[in-house]
Amino acid sequence: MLINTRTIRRTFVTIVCCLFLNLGFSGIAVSKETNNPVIESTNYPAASANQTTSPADTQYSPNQHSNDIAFFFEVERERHWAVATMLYALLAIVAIIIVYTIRHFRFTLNRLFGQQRHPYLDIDVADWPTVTVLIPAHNEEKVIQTILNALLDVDYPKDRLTITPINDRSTDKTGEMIDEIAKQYPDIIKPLHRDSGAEGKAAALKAGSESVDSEILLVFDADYIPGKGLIKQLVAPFFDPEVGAMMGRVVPINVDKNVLTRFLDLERSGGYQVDQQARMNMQLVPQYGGTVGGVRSSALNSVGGWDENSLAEDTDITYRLLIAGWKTVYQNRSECYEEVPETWPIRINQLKRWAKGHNHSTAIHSMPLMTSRRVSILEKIDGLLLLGVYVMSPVLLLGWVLAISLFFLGEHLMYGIIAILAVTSYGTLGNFAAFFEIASALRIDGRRQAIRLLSINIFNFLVSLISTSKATLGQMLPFGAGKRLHWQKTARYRKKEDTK
Amino acid sequence: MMVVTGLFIFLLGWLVLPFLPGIIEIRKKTDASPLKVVQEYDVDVHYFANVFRGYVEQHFPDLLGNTQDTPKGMQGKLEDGTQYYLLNQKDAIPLQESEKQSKITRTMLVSVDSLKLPGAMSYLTELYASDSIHGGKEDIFRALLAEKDIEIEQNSMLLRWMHAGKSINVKPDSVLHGRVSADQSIHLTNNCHFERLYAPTILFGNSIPRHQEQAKLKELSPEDLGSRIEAEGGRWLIENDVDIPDNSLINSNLVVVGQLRIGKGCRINGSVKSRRRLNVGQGTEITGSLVSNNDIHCSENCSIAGPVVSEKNIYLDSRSIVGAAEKPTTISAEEIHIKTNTVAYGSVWARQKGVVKEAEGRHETL
Repeated sequence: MLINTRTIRRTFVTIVCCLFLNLGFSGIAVSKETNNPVIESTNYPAASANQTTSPADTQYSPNQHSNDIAFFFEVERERHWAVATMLYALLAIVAIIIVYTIRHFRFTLNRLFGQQRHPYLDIDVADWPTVTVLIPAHNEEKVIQTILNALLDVDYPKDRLTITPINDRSTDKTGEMIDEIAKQYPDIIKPLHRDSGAEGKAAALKAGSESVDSEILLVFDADYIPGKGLIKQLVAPFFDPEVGAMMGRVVPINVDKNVLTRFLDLERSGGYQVDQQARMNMQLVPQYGGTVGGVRSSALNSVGGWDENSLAEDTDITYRLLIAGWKTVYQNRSECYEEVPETWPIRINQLKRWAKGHNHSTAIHSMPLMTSRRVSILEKIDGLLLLGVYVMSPVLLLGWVLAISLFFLGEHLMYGIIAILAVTSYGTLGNFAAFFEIASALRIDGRRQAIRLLSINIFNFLVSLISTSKATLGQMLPFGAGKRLHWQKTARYRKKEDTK
Repeated sequence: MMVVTGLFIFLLGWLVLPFLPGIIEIRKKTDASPLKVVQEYDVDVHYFANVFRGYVEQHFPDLLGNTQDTPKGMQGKLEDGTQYYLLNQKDAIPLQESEKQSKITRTMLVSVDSLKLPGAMSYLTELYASDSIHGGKEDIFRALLAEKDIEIEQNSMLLRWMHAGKSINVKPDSVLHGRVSADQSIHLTNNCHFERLYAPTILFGNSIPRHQEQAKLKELSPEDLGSRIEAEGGRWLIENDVDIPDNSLINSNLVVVGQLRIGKGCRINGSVKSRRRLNVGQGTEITGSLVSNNDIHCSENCSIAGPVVSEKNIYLDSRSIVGAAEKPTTISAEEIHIKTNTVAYGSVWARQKGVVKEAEGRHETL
């Protein structure tokens, strides 16, 4: 990473902004010890909100700074251990949120003002390698024909391209439809029908990968519609022998269906336009997202292939490649349409699946990541924070519970309406950075009116928070741990007439 | 009671207020279309040429390619307001007095034959020739399309794009902004500046270099390059700077975390990546791609079969060969500096600038 005066200045400004935004709460959290030596904690647990002494009643004055530290320890000695534990846990959570806030701000500022990396985008003429496009398909009769037609039309040497739709135990007409098209293009479409073996996308990909010998494997979900030049764009990064996987940008096509699809459109914008591209710019850890992307066969084989037990084979392979010294790159201009969920139950199931799969990867890969000598310090930090994103949901909820509990236990962080504001701002501040990220992404995309939706995106955030917390806690708690992870297919909404 | 109700309504309104923009957007859907993805985009180098050719064909459907029946010096104005002259080879360019004085014309010239242009003029509208275009010295062009050849004279400048059905020949000290493409060849000479070039053969300088015979090579194993090296997944991953000795043979992809210096007369059967500076010695041959996050320097007589990609600058010394006639490839970097008598097959994309420089009499040491 280039470190120059401008970078340092931006980083400094970012940190100051983040600290300022979080100061409200973190300052409040410590104000008890530093500025407000009330007596009630010595009376704990009998102390209540009514027994507190207001700041105006205290004998403490701002001039008594020299006594602050001594007073802090005095109060600490008198505080009940349980309350002290809660307080420190809360402070730790706030500290973690500050780290994530800085991360979000850093990414957004980099995307807005930093130098953008698109090193492979200009490779338009080359001796293209052999490619197999894998399309895992389980009951995809609504969409399979469209993607196969789109892939037959792509600009890629036909003698180097194989399309392998993987019919994974479909009970509808998916298999027949695939066979019908394959009969017309037997040299290009080589279908694979699975009616046994492990379930799920990772298992399907594993079977598909083992059935072909191409140098590059590209993966598309069946509801995607690749453009004419997309395959070349997705393959181009693999001319860099360090690249193990690459990822393109996913763009929702059914945006105007309802509130949920519009929320998801915002989320995708922030996630790809800012988050992924910033990681690419900063040479951190762009993530292979499981579709509109691909892997190098030799790299995949060298790390043991797809893990069929993983629910998030994309995260899993990103980290296994990273730990083995392969890079994943992101190419923002390689765009492809997808369908996003249109109903909340489907969305919640999708979130839970992602959370479980991602957390599974977190458990497996955190330690190897930290100890790998092939991974730079910055990649380790970014990689670890990325692994922790779904764990942050229950952590944030715990923070809320702790903050409110401490308030009612008499450990006032502040008083009255300010306390309420403090708690609510605590809940949103960490994520304000994420909202800033989305707003910036929309601005870069030239979608200024959609920015208005940010004000109500808090509801989408709450649904995500609760869903992922539930999934994560389900894995962590004794009754949930050890349960086998099951794949759940995301529903398709395209109508038959749309496919023609 | 009234006060309480009023206060309640006020508070409710106060709470809902921040959500109003979102609620209005949900109801009105003013920005609810999917982000535009260009599904048909396929990196077609002929794009501008095809669009302009279509424009010419649309407005002069019966005249192109029919030199016999073309009225001389036909001129007029198209419905979009563009002024034009329709010419054949014998016609002089009918510039008006004001155009001659200002040395600027905004008239679109369409020739049903070859087009020979006077020098020191600025042509600020596209020019088309069914045959060839011959520019004059110090001309400035907006865009050129010729179905056969284009000759650009010394000290000329191109502002947007040009395409030739056969070849493009650019004389010294010319500056080519935008995209330049030809279906057969492009020939750039000393001190030409360029941005984006595409042709099956792109020659910098006057002579096409030939592949050099290599001396006897010594095959290296991973251990020969130090201890911090891992060989798996079809590549050697080296975690520090590395120097590859002269006349070495490596049968693997090579990824170097530090700087990489490849000695003279080596052959690497694979692709090469360095995260830092990458120097390729004289007469070295690489059968795959050459990639660096930093500068790439290739000495004389190098031969690289695959794409050459740098996130900074590329320096190609004379008599280097990139790609092959039957396997064209891409050179891409922020800046590309190429010495004369070098050849590239395919695309040369300089994001900021590309320069052709005369090869020096002595060998540049890297």
